[in-house]
Amino acid sequence: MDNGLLEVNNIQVSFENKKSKLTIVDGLSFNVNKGETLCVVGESGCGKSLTSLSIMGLLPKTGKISGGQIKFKNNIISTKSEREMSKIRGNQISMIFQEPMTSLNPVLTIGKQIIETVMLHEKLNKKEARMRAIEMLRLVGISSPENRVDAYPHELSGGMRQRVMIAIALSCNPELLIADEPTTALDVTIQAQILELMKELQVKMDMGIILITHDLAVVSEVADRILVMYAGKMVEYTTREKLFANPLHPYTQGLLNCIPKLTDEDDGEDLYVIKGSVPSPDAMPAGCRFADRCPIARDLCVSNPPPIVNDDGHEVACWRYTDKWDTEEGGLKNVSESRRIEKVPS
Amino acid sequence: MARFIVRRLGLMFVILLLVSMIIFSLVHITPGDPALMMLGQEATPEALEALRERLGLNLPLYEQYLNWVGGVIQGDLGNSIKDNTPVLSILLQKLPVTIQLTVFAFVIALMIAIPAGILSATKKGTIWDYAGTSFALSGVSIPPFFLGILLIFIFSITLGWLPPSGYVEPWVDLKQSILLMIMPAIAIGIRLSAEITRMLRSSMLEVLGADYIRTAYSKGLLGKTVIVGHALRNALIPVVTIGGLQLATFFGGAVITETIFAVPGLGRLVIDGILTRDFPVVQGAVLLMAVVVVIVNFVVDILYSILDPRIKLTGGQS
Amino acid sequence: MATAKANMEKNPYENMKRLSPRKRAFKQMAGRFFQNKLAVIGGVFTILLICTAILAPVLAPYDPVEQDYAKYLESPSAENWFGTDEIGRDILSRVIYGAQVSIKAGIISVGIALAIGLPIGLFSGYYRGKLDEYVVMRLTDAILAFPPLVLALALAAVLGAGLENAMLAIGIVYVPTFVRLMRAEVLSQREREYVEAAKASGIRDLKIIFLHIFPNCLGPILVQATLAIAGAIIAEASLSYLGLGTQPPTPSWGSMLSMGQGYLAEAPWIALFPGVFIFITVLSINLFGDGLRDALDPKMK
Repeated sequence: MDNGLLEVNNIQVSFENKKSKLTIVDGLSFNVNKGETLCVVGESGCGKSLTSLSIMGLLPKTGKISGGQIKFKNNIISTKSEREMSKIRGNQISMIFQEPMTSLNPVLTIGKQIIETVMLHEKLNKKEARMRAIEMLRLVGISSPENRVDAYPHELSGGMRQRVMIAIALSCNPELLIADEPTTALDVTIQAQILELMKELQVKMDMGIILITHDLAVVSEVADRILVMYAGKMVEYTTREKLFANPLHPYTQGLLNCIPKLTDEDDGEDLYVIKGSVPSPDAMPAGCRFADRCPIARDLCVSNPPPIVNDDGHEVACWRYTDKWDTEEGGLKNVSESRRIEKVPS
Repeated sequence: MARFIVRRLGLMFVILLLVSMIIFSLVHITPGDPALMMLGQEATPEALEALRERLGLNLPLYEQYLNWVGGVIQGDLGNSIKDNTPVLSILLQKLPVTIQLTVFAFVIALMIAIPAGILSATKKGTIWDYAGTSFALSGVSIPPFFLGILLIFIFSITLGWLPPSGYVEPWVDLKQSILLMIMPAIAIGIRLSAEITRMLRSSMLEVLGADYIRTAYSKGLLGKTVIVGHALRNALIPVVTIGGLQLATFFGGAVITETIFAVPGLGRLVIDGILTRDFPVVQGAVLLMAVVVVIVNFVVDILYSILDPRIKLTGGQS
Repeated sequence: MATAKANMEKNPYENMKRLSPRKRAFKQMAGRFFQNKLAVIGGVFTILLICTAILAPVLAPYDPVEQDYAKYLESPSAENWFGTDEIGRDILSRVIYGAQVSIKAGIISVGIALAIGLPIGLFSGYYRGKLDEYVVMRLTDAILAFPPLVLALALAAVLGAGLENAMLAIGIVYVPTFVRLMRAEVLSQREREYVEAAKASGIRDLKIIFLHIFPNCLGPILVQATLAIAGAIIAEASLSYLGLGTQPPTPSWGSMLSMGQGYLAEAPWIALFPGVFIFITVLSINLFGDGLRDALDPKMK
């Protein structure tokens, strides 16, 4: 664990009001090492973003970490006060967000927004901080940074703004960078540039990265390890090689099938979609949360939450890989047509 | 920027022209004889004729208007009917008093509204929010003259803390001058304060949900810095425009407040002019108020673009 | 606006399936309104005040103008709940009759403003053009440059003191507000598909304006009109306070305050009761109007 950076143990994120409590993220564990990229994959609403916000200590007011713990460099950070967390945020752990168009303050120059971060965490004077800001802008590939440093966000394109966001995030040499769908809002060509930039800077700064995305094409490019989430739970967690070579969970298989392959010889092949939709958090099924949509679900799955099976570092939460699977009788009884992965004409 | 200002200046000129026409027609186009209106029913025919002659009321309307506007441009606003002093010098004498009241009232209004607006937005749904919202609602619902009377009743008559009315120049007796200004400034400033609280609360709520606020927290900034350094600046942008628009309402409040508290400013001048039918004075004072409103709104437009760099000053539609 | 939206949305309420979209939108709006406690309280108070005004002759214990020098400046008692004024008139009776003046002034002034402002805004917004941009818009700009109360004062002074002229003056002052609002609403409506469709099918302009556009703009106008009534009540009271509105001996809250101001030390009830009533009236109408706005447009808060 010398290389270990972040360790998330069995965390639970819930939203509470007077009347009810909704648990959105339930029993999630993973870790990130130095210089490594962990990709968190899942459909929107599966709790990916909340997981990252809980690491930052930035959950919305009504939400909180209701179980488990988060360790950063062997210190528990999930119970730290706002004041203590603010010393870590932007300094040791940084974050970039999905919407570069709205994530920068429109009334402040980009330079000011970088300088502010630098001066907050490091003992630099204004002039030195400005130098650092220019340096950072150059690092993220913005041309003539001496002039751009005084530009306002609206004067830059989306891709440029995301570069600025990265510059802000990296301005204090963080050890961990959390990127929440950093390229979703951008053009495909810009996406590639931004990902390339992040990879390059990761090597330079020996950072751990958590990349949250629903884009498996991106994952196959940059991930070292992958965590697949479904409805607030982990479904599969392993290295990139293992996952792409041998996806174990039916949901992962479904996701991989959803990627259209241009190289397929069979041109007439139909697009795969996973039928049905994610269960809503206030009506979570008792058993496996994917059972409702799973093509191979059995009675067992509907009524009992699956255990996590660890096959040589390849973790999967599915009954299929347990001894119980074979002993269970008449498994397909309750599975209706709609739960199958269906072919839809493209 | 330059093109925008030029265009905006042109627009301002047109509006001022229309303003002058409205003021002129108020007295001259309405049915009835202006001279009779000014002197009242019991005036003698000779007096009426003399006044008509003096004011040029026997000339054709357009000529009267041109004469008046020509005079106004040269700073000649006519003379008061009451004592024949030039209207301009009366205005210049009253203006500082109203400016003093305005500054006091704005300071008080902002001192209440900014904390109240921020608190009720950041602590939405708590007792702070209810207090702020109730203040805003009461403030826009209480008539300034009732508030003025209420203040006199509480602070002068019951508690005896403040002098009930009157005015002293600050350089004559600073302490007394300030004491006399407190109640009028509150009476007139509360409404403005309430409007700003309301605006600021809603724009603050909108801003606090913005992505860049989350970014600010993710940098490690603490709550106070985020609110003052990032949220307030954005939330104030719509408030500034309202502040400009409120100035007109504010002058209306000055008429009432200056009457209640016997403050010899522009507002008091207008109402005295109306009650004594001294129309040149009324015209002059109303013109001055309208001009100030138009100019302030022009400045607010420029300020708006400085506060919000996204606004490009290319001179588009108003 | 609300109807068009309801058409597009999937029916959220099963039991409303058979209602027309317009009725359904109205029902949803009413539902939102009644959830807002403050708005309901405001509405109830407003209705009570209107009833008070209408039933003044029945409710008032005394004649509001009857003088009784035997009991001048008496403090509130079982006989005169709100006390008496400097010439022995019953304050409670005068406050009750004063409600008539205030409510009447509020409604009629805003009625005048609507009658003049809405047609101008409607045609100006629909036809656009030079007349709209150079005359209507600039003229409203110019009128809005005047402090509203000062303009009302000047108009009332020129027209002559009295309640009728005060209402006319206040109405005129509110005209630009409604011209602007109506115009803005029309501008947003005239680009919609249904107007295009109506035009394409050869329906005459006048018919489009009155049968299609106007009904769809009513929501925001209703809200603004409600809030304007509150403002007009303050304006009338202000004019009466300054002596240019309701003339004595007719009881009006504004003039009662101005009379009472002179007796603040020995008989504060003369000024305080009518003042409290203006405040409650205006507050209730504002609460009601705010509730109406939130109910009509749930996104805005």
